Amino acid sequence: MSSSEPRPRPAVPFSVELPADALYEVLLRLPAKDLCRFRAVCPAWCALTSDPLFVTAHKSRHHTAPPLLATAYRDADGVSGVAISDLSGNVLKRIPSAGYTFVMKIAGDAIGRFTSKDDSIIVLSARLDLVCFSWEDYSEALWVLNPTTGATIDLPTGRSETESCAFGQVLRVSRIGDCCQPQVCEVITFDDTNHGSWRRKQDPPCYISSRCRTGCVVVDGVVYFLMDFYSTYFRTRMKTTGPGSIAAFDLETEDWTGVRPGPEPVHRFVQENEVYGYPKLELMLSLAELDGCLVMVHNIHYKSMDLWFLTDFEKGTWVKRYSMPSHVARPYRYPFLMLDDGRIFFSGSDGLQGLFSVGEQGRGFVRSYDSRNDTYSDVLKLEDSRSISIYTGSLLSL
Amino acid sequence: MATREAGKKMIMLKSPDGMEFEVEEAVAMESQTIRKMIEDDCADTAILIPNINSKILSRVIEYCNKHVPTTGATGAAASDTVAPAALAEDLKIWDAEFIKVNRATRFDLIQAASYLNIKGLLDLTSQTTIDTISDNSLEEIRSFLSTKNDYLPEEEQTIRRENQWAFQ
Repeated sequence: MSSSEPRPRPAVPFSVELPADALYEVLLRLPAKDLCRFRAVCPAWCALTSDPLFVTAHKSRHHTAPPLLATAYRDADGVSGVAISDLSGNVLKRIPSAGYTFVMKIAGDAIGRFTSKDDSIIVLSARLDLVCFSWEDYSEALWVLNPTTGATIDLPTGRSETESCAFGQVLRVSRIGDCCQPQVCEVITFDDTNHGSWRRKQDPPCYISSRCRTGCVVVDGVVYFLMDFYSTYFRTRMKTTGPGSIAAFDLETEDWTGVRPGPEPVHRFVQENEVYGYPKLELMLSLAELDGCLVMVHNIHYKSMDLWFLTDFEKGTWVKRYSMPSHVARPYRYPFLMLDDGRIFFSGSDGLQGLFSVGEQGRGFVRSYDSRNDTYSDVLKLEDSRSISIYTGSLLSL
Repeated sequence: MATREAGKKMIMLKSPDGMEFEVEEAVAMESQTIRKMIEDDCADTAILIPNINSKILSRVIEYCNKHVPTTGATGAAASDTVAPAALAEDLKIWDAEFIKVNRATRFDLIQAASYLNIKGLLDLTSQTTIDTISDNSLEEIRSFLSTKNDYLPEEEQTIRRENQWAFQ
């Protein structure tokens, strides 16, 4: 309809003011990126588009707009922090972290002092309007950052190193720790004023994969964990679960809701493909939330990357909706986001960074794959391919 | 309440300049604001629509007349017989004609649609303005909307710097 109407030329000396109500309605319909540019039109526009009520109304109208990404950065001065970027790779905000100082004591005597100076932030996978992070070396502790206010909450330190953690919409964290003992599941509920404390819940139904950043995901208030088939079998010589099995923990009821076998072809994969063993299969599997659904990613390196959608948890029904070609199916590729236009976003790294991530900088990346024309495009560079999270907050409030 | 034709309730809308418009209740209820008044039984006599002059109000009614769902009493939509796609196409062409108005009228229509809470009309009128401003420079937008730039030069520079990525 706009093409049929001659565009009013700004040069026309004809002054009509847009009434305030009308201005509000017009601005509410513009994408957030345009609004950020229009903040420079005049102070009134800037104030309106920064107003929390406007931001909330805008967010609910544009709830299908692509989300933002949170990643870790380390600048030239050695300051670490969290960066918020859009899906075109523009960095919108950098929030430096205050870091940590940690004194190690034995029998009351300080024996060592550790600081974040030489440590790197690991952004933990989530899909929230908060960013959860830990540190590479000091991984017992978890922090939660609110990018709008810049405020950081440090959660109480857990009883052991976190092997796997998940962050739900209701701001509860389920946490599983301890490496030799049976795994422990803990939950915390917190808000701005109450930082909560860890509450122990029922132990996991079977051994959970310790690949915390690719082996668990939250979908609609339920945490799904990839089970560790191989090491359970190795330790107990008992086949308690099949390869590719998942366990579910409901954040609302704070209870385990069951274990389901993985997709049949994943289950039979090693038996039917003799060149692969179970340890190799475990490296091929990861979990993701795509299109609001739990997805098991079966990355058959250099062959294909199959995306299995769990369409019915009760019946354990998996449907293979996508199979990506061999040039996508490289090792250490982790799909984490699918847009309405069909583009799938991956984090990944080249070479062995996925195994030895310390010290290798800038070798991780985010790329998008467009199945409609089979193209791959670069989005962002990352320090660590698994240190990324989806930030669902409005960029207007950044 | 006035009634005309078989079973069709009529509502009287009054503009501040004294004009009266008799419209079918279903047409008036395209406006969520009026719908609320009717449902709350505040609409026994004529409803005064403040701030919307008769010229704009008559255009709003014209829009609602066109867009009121042609639904029978049973709820079976008339689009069961007419292909929905053809109907939608027809509405689109009609909308495009409807919105060919000068800027002042369009701004008044946005405001009226906002006050009366008519989603379709609001989307239509504001989208045309969005199409006009979203590709333009700040200077063109200021001029188009007669917005005064009361930033100090250095203030504007700061805002531009903070949102620099959005200019790329």
